[in-house]
Amino acid sequence: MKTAAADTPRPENPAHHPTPRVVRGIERNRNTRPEVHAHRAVSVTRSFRETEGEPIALRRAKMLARVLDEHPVVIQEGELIVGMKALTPRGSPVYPEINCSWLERDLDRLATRKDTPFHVSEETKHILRTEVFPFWKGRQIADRIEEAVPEEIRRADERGVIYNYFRSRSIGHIQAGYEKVLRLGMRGILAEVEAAEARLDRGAPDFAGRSRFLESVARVCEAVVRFAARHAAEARRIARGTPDPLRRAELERIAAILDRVPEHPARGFHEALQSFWITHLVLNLETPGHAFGPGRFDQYLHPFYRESLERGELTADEAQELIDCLWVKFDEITLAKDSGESQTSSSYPDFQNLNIGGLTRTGRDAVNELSYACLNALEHTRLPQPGLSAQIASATAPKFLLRCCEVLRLGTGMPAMFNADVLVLGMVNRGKSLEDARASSLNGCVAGFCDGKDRMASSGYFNLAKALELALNDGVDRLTGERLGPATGNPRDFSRFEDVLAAFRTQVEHFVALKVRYDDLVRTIYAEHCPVPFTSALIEDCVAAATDWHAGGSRYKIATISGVAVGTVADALSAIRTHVFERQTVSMERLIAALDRNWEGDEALRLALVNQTPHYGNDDEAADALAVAVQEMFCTAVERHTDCQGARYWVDLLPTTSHIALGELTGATPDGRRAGAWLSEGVSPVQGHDRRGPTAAMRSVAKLDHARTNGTLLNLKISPQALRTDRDLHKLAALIRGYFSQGGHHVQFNIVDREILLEAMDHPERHRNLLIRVAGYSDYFTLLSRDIQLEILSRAEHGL
Amino acid sequence: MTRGATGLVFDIRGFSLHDGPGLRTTVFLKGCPLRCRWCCNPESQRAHPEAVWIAERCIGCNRCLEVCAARAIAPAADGGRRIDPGRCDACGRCVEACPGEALQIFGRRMTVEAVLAQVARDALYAEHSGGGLTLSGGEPLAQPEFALELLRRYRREEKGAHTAVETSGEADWEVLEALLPEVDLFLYDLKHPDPAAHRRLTGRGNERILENARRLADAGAELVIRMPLIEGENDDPRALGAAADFVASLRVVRRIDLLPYHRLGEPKYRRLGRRYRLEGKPAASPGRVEAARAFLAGCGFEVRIGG
Ligand code: SF4
Ligand code: SF4
Repeated sequence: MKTAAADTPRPENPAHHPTPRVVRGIERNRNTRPEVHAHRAVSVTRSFRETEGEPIALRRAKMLARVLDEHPVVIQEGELIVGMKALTPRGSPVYPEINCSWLERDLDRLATRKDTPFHVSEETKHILRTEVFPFWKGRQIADRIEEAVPEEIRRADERGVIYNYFRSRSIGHIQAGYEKVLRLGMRGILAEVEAAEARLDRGAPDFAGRSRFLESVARVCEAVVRFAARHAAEARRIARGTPDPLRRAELERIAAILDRVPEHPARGFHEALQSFWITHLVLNLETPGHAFGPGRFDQYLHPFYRESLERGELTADEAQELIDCLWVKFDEITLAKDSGESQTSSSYPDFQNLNIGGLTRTGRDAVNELSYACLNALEHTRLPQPGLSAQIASATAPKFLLRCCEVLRLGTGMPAMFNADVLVLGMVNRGKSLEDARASSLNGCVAGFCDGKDRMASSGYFNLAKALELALNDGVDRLTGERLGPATGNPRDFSRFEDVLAAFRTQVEHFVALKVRYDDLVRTIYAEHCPVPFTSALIEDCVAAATDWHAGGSRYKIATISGVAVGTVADALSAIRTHVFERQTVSMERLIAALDRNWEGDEALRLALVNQTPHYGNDDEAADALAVAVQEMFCTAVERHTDCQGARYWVDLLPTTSHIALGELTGATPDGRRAGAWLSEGVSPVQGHDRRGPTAAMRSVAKLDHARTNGTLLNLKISPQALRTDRDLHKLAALIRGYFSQGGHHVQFNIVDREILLEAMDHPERHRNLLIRVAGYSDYFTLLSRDIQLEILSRAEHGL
Repeated sequence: MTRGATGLVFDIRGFSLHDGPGLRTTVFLKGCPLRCRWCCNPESQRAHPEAVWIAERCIGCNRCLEVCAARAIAPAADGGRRIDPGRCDACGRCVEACPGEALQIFGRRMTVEAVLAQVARDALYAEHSGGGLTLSGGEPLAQPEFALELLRRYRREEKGAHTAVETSGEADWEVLEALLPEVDLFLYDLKHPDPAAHRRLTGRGNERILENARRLADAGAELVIRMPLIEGENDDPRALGAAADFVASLRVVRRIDLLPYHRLGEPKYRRLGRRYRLEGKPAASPGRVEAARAFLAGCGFEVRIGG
């Protein structure tokens, strides 16, 4: 691929506003209520009924082919990029083969639940209940996992120590090689399949299996070609009935494009975007996997962009409109999730992480004009999807960073800022070649991947705070009284702080080992019962090695476990060390009793622990050292393991929103947290415990070893006053560079807007550190009277 | 001044954005000769440490009463706690004992070394942004030796990094003269051009302030003028015109920062047990702020709102 560094970035976009059709698309998405549709489930079920007894690889290929052949084709008004995941924008198909028990249970409640409700029509309910649910009883992946999970693991999961999210969604975290489709088309991939078939050793015992796998890939590639053809036909049909000659011409163009891609290599930008989108849709229709990431979008699409502009097929404005249209399509994508799952990542957006910037394969600044166009698209649409991640390396041009800061100021919380240098370092450490490491991207929320060659399945969360709870309760769940972990001794007998750490280590090691067993069991079930031929077609070296992606066919493989609550545990340990062992202001006996009673009648003690303890996040050496120790302990426990496919285990420290759900299952902690309250998020300090401003918080967080993780997440709040002028953007850029030069991996800024202020009024304890600054004045927001708080609220609304 | 001498500091804050170029660390020195009615940091005015009680955080445990040897803190009729400033020697024992962070002491004696050690922590951010150190207050010139030593040592240790002083200018000329070689930028207040009005609003006349501004300008210092904008007090065309004339007469000043009045500091007066003299006065209206901005911009100045 042509690298972009040689091109002069052209950040100036003449169109500062989205075009009317983009505005209509945004409104269409906003005004359509999310809904569950049954068509995919029906196709899947009928297909599986018919293929009973055939080898699973073929059954799965036939299933996807049928889904695509029967998928209702909808082309919406004004669209330039076409193809939908479901009948309506923000509609969700059903994936009964993975797990539909939750849906059966929640079907009547889905429209009224608190988090992410979905409408379900009576007709859909009827179809699901009669045709779909009965067939899948005992056949879902979830059922197989359910049967296989031993009691000990089940309990640890239910009680919130470890969590595996593959029970309701498939493994996912797919960073597919979209670039391959653009370059080769389905025909090229079919040729690859043929070549691989020819190389197979016909005498080998696994010949039949490998050959079947290749056949399954070929079948789905053919089905994708038919899928595109059906869209082309529909575009032509609508064109015939369209009186407006301009729109008719657009539809005919769309049809012509779909005649060609993704069957053949893309020529020009419009074809490339449409080819990308069909590919993205098919991946989404194959599995309900976590996080289908567009990856290094500005890199693999740039040659097509350049080509169209140079040939005069498109102006920069027209190209921008196409990108904006694609952003609207990204925003249509959602998935109805199990209520449990929707709590650990509660939102309609579905982690489509699109990367811009970063480094080229040869280590130069990769920013190009398309990187800027993606920022424009975010500015124009202000949609929550795709998730935009900007990779910033030391080599990144200041202009790009400043433009990112400018877009950040709009208050969407995006782009999230990533340190490309640390990403590359970590990737190399985890076995990627230097070139592949530079070509990697962030997927999901903050995890690093090598585009089109990887399998990095974060398999779910590890609740470090719960492990500490068990260490302080001899292995017994404080909330239920059940034994969950090993007996690590009566905490009242701990005579030194080191005893606490030792007990904690034992609990961590125990549950990490349990989590690895859990993951292996799940992974094996997916490998045996859920081949993914289309995903495999797009991830090297699955086809070449004739091995399915779920069975470990990718070039790179790692496994990760997401640690949750580093901050909570660090502060809890700091409280114990400070008050029980150093100052001896409270005995362990008394502390444990207070935890048992959830601080009932002990408010003074609780506050003393909150307010008179050195906390992680304030550049306090002693407190920060505890966070470092927690990470070290967790990493060491995890890195010992390899999974059943030979992938080494690593840690990441990202929570999505699991710190809320897992917090609910965690009893009171010595940092003064009440039972059920939120845990700290990612590597961020405990909410409200960082009192010394963002630079101190960043210095603390940077003390962790970010390169040793596969991703960390730091959320900072920043007040709009701080970003009023363009000069201020330079300061924000310096703040980001400063954090990255200290080794930070990711930072995301939430502009303190109305929502945050309202939340702070309702939950002052989470926002005790929220400083309001107005020229020459600053004070803690939560200390202000309601009257003044409301005044600040109105200032925030007016951007003062 | 001997090494290890101390100053009275009431806050040190990293990530300061509007007190000079780049990302700065601002050191706030406590004590100020003026008493501006609109001051939103009353805790910075008095030249001694002060203990305050914050009603919103108090849980009524009475620990503070138990530990206060001076018997300076007592329950008040309204159910709160009252600190008798005559008795309190700011020993800090109550602050340590209070579980709710409901007690706070404004003002700590610190050595130059201790202050610089904190400032140095943000050096990386200052370097990335071309920032530096700002002395503010209170009135930093009210602790002349400490301020001078701080700036001199900072300059030496950070190899000429940027320094700024935010001042009312109410000090002997000799104090400013001594600071001159160590300061890159003065953020200099002009609260009212008229001496009598200045006296009424701040407790002192402005003769010395205006004179010092002129001498700084003549000595070639870089100056940015900061004008608080108090509706009905100093934002009328006459006051603005006179202010603009004065600033223009300095010849070297190009930029004026307008600081529109807001009432966010009001609760702090209550905590300090003091009366807020602008009670009920609404925040500056955007229309008046814009009128003042347009007027000064018309006089040829670069005008920033909020600095
Ligand atoms: S600071 Fe010392 S003297 Fe003042 S109220 Fe507190 S304990 Fe009493
Ligand atoms: S110690 Fe603190 S919380 Fe307790 S009564 Fe005194 S001020 Fe209130």
